[in-house]
Amino acid sequence: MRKRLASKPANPRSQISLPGYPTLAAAGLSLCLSGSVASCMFSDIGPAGSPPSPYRVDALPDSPPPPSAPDADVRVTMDSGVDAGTAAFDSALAVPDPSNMAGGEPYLFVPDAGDETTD
Amino acid sequence: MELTLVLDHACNLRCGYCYGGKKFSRPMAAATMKRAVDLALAQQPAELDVSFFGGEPLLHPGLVEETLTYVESTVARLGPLQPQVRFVMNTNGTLVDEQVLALLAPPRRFTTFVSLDGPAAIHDAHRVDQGGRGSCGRIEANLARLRKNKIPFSLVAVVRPDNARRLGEVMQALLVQQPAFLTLTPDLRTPWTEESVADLRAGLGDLTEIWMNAFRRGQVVRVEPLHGKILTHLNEGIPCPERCTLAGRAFAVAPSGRLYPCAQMIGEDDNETLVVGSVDTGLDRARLLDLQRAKDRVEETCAPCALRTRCQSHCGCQQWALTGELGRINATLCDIEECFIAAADRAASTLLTEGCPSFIAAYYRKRFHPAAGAGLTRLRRWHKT
Repeated sequence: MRKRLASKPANPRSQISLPGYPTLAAAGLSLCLSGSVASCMFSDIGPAGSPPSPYRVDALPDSPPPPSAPDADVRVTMDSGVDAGTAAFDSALAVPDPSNMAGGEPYLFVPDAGDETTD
Repeated sequence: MELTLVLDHACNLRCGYCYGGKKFSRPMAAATMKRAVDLALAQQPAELDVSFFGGEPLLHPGLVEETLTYVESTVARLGPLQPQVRFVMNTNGTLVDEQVLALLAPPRRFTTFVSLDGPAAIHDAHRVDQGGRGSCGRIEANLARLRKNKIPFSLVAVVRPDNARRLGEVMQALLVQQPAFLTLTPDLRTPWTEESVADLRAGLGDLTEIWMNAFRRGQVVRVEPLHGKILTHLNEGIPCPERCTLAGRAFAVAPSGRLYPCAQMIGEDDNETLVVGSVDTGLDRARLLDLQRAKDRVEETCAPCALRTRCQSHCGCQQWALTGELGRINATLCDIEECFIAAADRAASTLLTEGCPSFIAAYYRKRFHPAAGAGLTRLRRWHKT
């Protein structure tokens, strides 16, 4: 008999151990998003007219759009600390924090046996 | 604002897992298309994505071309208020001719998603034509034509219990095509057993090995949803209710002109409970609010879950696919999401521990973090409005 998954969520996953890589905040970085959908989404495939490239995550703009861009109202500002943050991250990288590394089972939870069914 | 136009229910393929229902021919009328575009522009969006969906939208290249012309000419008349426009094609990749190449080519801003499930042995198990013949060969030939014409494309692979263990093979076959990025889409309408989830876990292990090796070679390949899962950790998650607004900033139009929150909900256009208006009467805001409230009831289930801010349980169309009900999920989603999150975290942790330069550059050093860009950007906009 193949055991089917439960018909409703059997968990919740109430306990997890943190992944072994820091959040941006923990790495001393702050997030800067362009308010322009186009500039974000087209970063995936390069600017119009550019040849296709399979690897575009690293082809993002190096500078923010001008404040006068139409989406200024939705821009999440804040990256004044990026350079310092990068330096901070370099330090963090040199000596990874063991307490922040996943060990053993990545996610620990107690399944509710009553939620499982068999057929 | 995302406007999805389902140009027809008809399709030249008969994929075994298709959720679209019967493939009857009911092409969208040009007048319906124009009213839909007008309705989207009436919202005065700062950005407008016009997405072609089906059935198979490239059965009607003439209507696609007419849509492009109408959108571009209408937007141009808006002067300084004109939104940034992007077009999106969702195609099975079997119908690429000279006319289609001309439509998709730069400088027009087109993102093209092509469905390819992996090598022929995997792809052709489900994606067949009306005669039962596999479509992989035709698609690969057409992808070569896209590359030759410098037309970027992304690949979408459906992940099912019968190919979950073979995701390493899938990844290899897809990377060969040099896509802009890859998306793995779990089939939530099919039963997943504990064994098939174990297969998924193992298959993702093979896939992430290939992914990590690409990083180690200096190649940053965006693979969804792994990329997104890493971002949800880096950004410390996104609160569930803010992620899917269920037609709050997007809607899909059936060939009949009826409006739905999402193209995946249209099916045969016969489920009144999901209709949120028409191109003639506009969006039914009260109906939409009811559906949004129903969708957000998932929070009652997911609130205690430590993974909720990294999970897709908020997505209305996924709820619908899983249970046929908004606001309700089941353990299939929990297990599949956990597999993807664990695989993403394992890869990221490994690459960081190794000090992989391309991984660090991609995820930690950019002034403009990719951050699934558009998703978070829209999130902010929704939040403000």
